[in-house]
Amino acid sequence: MLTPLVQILIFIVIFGELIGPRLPGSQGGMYGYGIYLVSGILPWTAFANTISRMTTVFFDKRSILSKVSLNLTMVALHIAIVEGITLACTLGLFTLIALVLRVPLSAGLLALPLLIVCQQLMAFSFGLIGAILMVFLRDIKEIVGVVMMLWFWLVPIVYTIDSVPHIVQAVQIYNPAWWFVREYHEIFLNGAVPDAGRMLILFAGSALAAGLMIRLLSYSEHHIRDAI
Amino acid sequence: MITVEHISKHYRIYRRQSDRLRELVLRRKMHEVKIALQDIHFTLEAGQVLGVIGRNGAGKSTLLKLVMGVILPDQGSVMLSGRVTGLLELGTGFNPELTGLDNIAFNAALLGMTPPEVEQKRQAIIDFSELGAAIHDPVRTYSSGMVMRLAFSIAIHAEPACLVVDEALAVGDAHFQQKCMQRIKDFRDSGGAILFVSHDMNAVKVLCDRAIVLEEGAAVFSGTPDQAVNYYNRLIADMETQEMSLPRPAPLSIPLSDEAQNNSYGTGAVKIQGTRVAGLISGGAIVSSGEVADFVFDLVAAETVPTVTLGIMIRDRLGQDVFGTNTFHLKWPLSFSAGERRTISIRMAVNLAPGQYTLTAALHDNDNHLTHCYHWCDNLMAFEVAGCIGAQFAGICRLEPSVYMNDGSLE
Repeated sequence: MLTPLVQILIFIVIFGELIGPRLPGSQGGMYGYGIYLVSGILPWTAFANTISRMTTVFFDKRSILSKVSLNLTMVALHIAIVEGITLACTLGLFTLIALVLRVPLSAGLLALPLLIVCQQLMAFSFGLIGAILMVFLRDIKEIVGVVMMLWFWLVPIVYTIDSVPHIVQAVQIYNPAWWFVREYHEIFLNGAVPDAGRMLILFAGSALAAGLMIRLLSYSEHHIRDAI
Repeated sequence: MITVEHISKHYRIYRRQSDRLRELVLRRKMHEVKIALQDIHFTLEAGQVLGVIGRNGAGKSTLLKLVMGVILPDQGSVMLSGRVTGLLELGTGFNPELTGLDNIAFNAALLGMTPPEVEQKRQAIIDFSELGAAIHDPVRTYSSGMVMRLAFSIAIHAEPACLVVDEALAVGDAHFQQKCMQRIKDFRDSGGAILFVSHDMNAVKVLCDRAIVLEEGAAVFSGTPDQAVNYYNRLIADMETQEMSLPRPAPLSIPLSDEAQNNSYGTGAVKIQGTRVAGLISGGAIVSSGEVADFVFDLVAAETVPTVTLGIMIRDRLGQDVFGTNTFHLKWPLSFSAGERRTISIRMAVNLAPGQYTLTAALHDNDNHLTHCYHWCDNLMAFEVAGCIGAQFAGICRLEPSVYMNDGSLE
């Protein structure tokens, strides 16, 4: 718990206080940019960790998988769950800090658990693609690392969406990470309750993707077990 | 307990792992098919032990992996009732940084035990493994024998319906091996089913109710353990005769240093060219204790030698002389003219305890090799005594005892 605490404080103090730009029209008070940064980076970290850890999961656990019959879906799913729980804890800590800093928050906080579930389902889907590919193509680990780094800078986490050209703003609609990062911003920065319709679409979409990926996994299970 | 229904397993051999992906995408065949198992069919009931024997690469491990569910069959199905625990390469699931105690919980969970079950069995597991206070140390500090003891202890305490044993008991000291063997027997007697894969023919004969012989992925024989072991021996013997037809390096007249393979020397006037052990029942070099076997030697003379003695010595795995004799003592004098070939058989009952033995043979003059030694071959070949005919016994030799009662009623 100490590392995230220090991390949150550093982001808020260094970026919010010392070198942080003032956000136009935000209600985050004087800590606006720090809050903005942390509320995007925490979910992203969980998202990216889940994907990169899941990519290598069958490979890492091959000594056990080749000895004991384990459900492949469960082996992969536990990572998404563990990262989700970690995220819930750090977000809880962040909420406490935000309350101490008198950041205005609302009932939107109640949407956090559902939001975590949605983003982890999404991470699970992407991670499973990586995990299946990894069995056939060892180098995918490096590729995933590069993709996640590029992806991070494609999501308005460090910068705000208003500060980039219109064309980039328009493209964000196709960026799955923006779908959930945006809601975290809504909750922590604007003290708002996320739009129910958008949340529903997000949840349905992630659940559908996860379901499809589990089907793909059971389809390729035969090959995976032969290859590891 | 276990029903294996006509399973087949083909492995696709790819030159590169990425070819698997390319094949999926391009729909073009990028692999060669290797048949690992072909139409294997058996059922294993509670309290039964099925032995699986076969040469390396015959498909034994594939069969076990299929039963364990870590790979999936291409055809057929494996039906299990209850938990199956494997002793496949014991201890692979251990985390070396955790203590033995933590690894019990971790490994037991992998085997499907619930936390209360683990709690309840923990002490029994520690006691059986005989690790004592070392259970609180990280597993990386354990010797390989200690790791094996802990792993076996967890596996057997998981109370599986079926146990899959694969050469697992080759490690560990004699005391613990026996303890494991006893525990496996207890497990069988209490209604557990065991799939037993081993190259230890004695263990197969002692433990199994039935056995199947795998050869190139097919079950070529199924029957009693004795029959199966004999069948297997014939398979190996066939393989060896094929190899013998290749030109063998000629025995040298100079003593070779410590080369175990060709530890032969002598003048070469008469040479041993080939040898085999053939049990009259088994037909091969693995015989039951008490079985009559022929020790056959193919001899060839380079020169005319009027008196030749063929001597043999059987040594156990520790190199101790167990039994030796020669044709001089057996009153069977031999003589050779130049270029003559003879095949000599020495027939005797192998009244030896189960185990591995080597055969040393020599050709010399009169009753010892000190004056004229024509050819001396140390460790000419190995043979094995497995299982026994009649009553079991302990010790190194089979003395054929019988019991009489002298209670005075005869007087």
